[in-house]
Amino acid sequence: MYKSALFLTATFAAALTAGTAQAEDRWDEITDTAEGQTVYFHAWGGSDVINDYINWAAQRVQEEYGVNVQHVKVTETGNVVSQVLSEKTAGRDTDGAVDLVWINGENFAAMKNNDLLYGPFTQWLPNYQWVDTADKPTTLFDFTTPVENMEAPWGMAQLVFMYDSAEIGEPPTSMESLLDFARENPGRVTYPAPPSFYGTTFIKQTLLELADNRTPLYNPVDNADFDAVTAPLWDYLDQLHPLMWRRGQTFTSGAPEMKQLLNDGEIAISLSFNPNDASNAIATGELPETIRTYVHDDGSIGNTHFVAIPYNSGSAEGAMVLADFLMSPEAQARKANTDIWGDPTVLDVDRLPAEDRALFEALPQGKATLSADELGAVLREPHTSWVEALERAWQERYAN
Amino acid sequence: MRPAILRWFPRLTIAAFLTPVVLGLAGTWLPALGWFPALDQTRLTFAPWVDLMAYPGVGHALRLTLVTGLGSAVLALAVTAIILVAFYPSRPFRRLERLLAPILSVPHAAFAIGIGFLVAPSGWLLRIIETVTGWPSIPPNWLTFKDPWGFSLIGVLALKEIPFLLFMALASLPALKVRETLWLGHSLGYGRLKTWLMLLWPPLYDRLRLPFYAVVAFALSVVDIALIAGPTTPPTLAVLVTRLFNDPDLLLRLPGAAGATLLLLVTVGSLLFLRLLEYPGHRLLTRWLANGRRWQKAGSLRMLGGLSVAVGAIAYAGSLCILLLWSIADRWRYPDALPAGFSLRHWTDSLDRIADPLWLTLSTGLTSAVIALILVIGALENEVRLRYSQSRFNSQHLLWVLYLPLLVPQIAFLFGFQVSLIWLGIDGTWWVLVWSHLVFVLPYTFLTLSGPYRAFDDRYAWVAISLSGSTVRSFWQIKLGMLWRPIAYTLATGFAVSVAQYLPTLFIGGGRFATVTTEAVSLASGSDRRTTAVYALVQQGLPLLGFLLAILLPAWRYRHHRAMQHR
Repeated sequence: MYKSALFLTATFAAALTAGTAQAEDRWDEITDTAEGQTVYFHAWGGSDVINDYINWAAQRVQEEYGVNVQHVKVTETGNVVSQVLSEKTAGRDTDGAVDLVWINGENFAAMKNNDLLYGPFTQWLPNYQWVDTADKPTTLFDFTTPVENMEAPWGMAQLVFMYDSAEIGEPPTSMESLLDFARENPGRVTYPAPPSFYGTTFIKQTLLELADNRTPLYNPVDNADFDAVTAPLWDYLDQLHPLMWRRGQTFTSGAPEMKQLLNDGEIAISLSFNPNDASNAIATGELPETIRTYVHDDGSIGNTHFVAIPYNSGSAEGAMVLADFLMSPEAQARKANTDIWGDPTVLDVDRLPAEDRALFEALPQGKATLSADELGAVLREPHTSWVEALERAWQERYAN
Repeated sequence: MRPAILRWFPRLTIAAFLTPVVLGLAGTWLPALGWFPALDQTRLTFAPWVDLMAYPGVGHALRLTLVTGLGSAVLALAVTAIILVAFYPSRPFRRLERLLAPILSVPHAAFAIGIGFLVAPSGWLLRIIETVTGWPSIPPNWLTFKDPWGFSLIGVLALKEIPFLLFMALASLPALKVRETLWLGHSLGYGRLKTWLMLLWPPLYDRLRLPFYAVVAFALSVVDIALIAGPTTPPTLAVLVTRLFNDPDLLLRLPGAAGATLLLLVTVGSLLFLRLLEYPGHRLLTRWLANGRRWQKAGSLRMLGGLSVAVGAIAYAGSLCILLLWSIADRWRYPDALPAGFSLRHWTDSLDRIADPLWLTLSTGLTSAVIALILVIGALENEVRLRYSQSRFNSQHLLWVLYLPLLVPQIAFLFGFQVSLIWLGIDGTWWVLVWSHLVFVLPYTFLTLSGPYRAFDDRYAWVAISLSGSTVRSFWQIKLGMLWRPIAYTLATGFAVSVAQYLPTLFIGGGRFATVTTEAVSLASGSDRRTTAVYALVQQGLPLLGFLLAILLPAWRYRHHRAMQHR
């Protein structure tokens, strides 16, 4: 018995080392093949701050691995999915135009379900071991879709709100108090129209806060009594809309436009997915020094954004090398710097070797940045199927 | 030039430019009928149409499209007519004429953003009022932009299209002998308005019809301006269709394809309707013609014309000023009429990054403009040849097909074209990018050059042949030599059209080709107005440079030819 247990342990240990050794061999193969490849990285190009960061990463990957990275600046991830889909339609199953794409949520689910992804690859990437899969479960489940190593975590997102502390004393920290705030300050509150994902997230946050029972939201929408579950949401929005910016007769396209309106003083509260957005915008002069960040008391929706490789990439190895570098402590610490971008890390900083941990400890604290404590609880995204159903119901009510 | 070669020009031109449209339409119609093998949809069915009609907001979006598209196009035509009747020909008009080229080179999106910042409740106009009067301290909750009825969209579209229609009208007006006709009318006691409407407008409209139809088609299917200035709940049909094509639910691409086809049907239907409307319109004019009234007073017309020009001037000058200010702003909040601080940082930062896209924009634009010019001159020269020979089949009549890309909504064929190119294995190459730009550069090249080229007095060429004994030398040295001005202008126009292409560059290039325009559009999806302004100005500066050269080069060329200097 004892012997066999020992034997089992030994085999297990051997298998583990063999597994690691295999992954190391595979990684060596990958870096060898990657050298000289050109990786077309399709990523949203609407922010200079992010474009500069990607440019820096491209240079570092060129130095370190000899991989040439080209940033394709897209306006919408849907365009990239369309490109891959067009290629599949035309039978271009090798050497497609997209090698790596910045993605999450619904688009990931769509690509995964339609076999448009390369397959599992993060298990071969050395830096994946530092990802905080324990305390950041959204690195394993993207809008409840199992990631299954098919996309590499890149950054963390959480729904936060921004306000001008020079104008407002206490910001409203729940959906109910937001309604009161709108009553006292008519025209100064708005949210982007779904299906903009900013708008959809606002709707989901509202529903999570108002729902009596959240369980149905974490299961496929078909299993739920949609009308009953969403009734409090529509009741709330019916009250909010007449009090909103332009009396709810027109909406913004997303968080970028709302940031402009906040700067213009048209609205008093804006929203963002990046908890450090305000700090970075203050640093670049886009927003005034008095802007601050807050979250709702019940917690707010958080998720992870990733990079994925399409099924027909001709430079998949180069793409893996880039994905691995983007997860490295060096790249993640730079990304988390509010003077550079301010996108929160996916890594478990406590687990990192001392010198890598020092990189994070040396980061400046942004003016409008909330501590982990203040950021509060992260609400999980509802099941993916709710997105389409909520967007459609919203459009039927307010955009028909 | 050798006639045998010339015969091939119109055919080649048509073949090269019909292919993308036909391939593209087929590639859109198949998914519209349910055929999309990559998504396991292989049954032909009308289900996508049913899904489209069931999609929330489609009916409303369709109504909005018709109202804003037709409304803005008709408004643009009416204002064009008012300005012409009120001021043409006159000295101030000649000044206006010179301003048209730079106005035409203003990119659509940049103009819409500028107007938005001008008229929004926190915009420049209200900031100036606040600075002077101290009111309002916070921006009022007014619906001056992106209103749900589409008024702001109609305004922006009309403002963008009036200069184009004026420009096209000015190319045709010299042939109509306006001054002489007005004298004639006047000598018989008819007022300016009556002479214009009865004698000049019908032949002018005849020549403006195609550009006007292009304006209608554009206004019905425009996406970028509608996103910035249009209603949001729901948006116009073109925006809704684009959204369906980008939806994470990939199956929505099938109703999306149906929607793109619906947009094409709506465009064709609208053009047919406008064509049919000409008959009662004509009858009405004839009745007025014979009613004996002379309409000698038309004072309010001048006022209306003056007002239109003033609104246009404020809009264009204002949006340009705003872009310039934002590009050098550091921080700028309501209610400051000027930025709180200035900085050249956004220029210096951007100029580093813009080098590669700039080079690609220049090379693609110049190449497509030159190719289009050669094809169009070939086709026009073939016309001259046909005039002197008795040919049974006149391939020239097929040239109207060239305008097809201007009349078919881009979203109705670009998706299909992309798939065809990938299937042929030629996507993502630079020459295909040039080709896709040519599809749009060519019609504008033809529109710009055909007037002056056809007006060329052949007797110069005959004299040259008799003196030199060489048709080739006569063509190169005399005909082309005398046509430098329109040719330079045409090249500048073609270049400007190529620079402006966004969707073709994106779709055909698979994202691999970054031009100044693709960079500008992707940055415009962000929040930083300062960088957006820098890119918009660069995007605007390139065509402007082209038009400037088009004025300077002929002037230099004709410095020793006094008779050619003032034309």
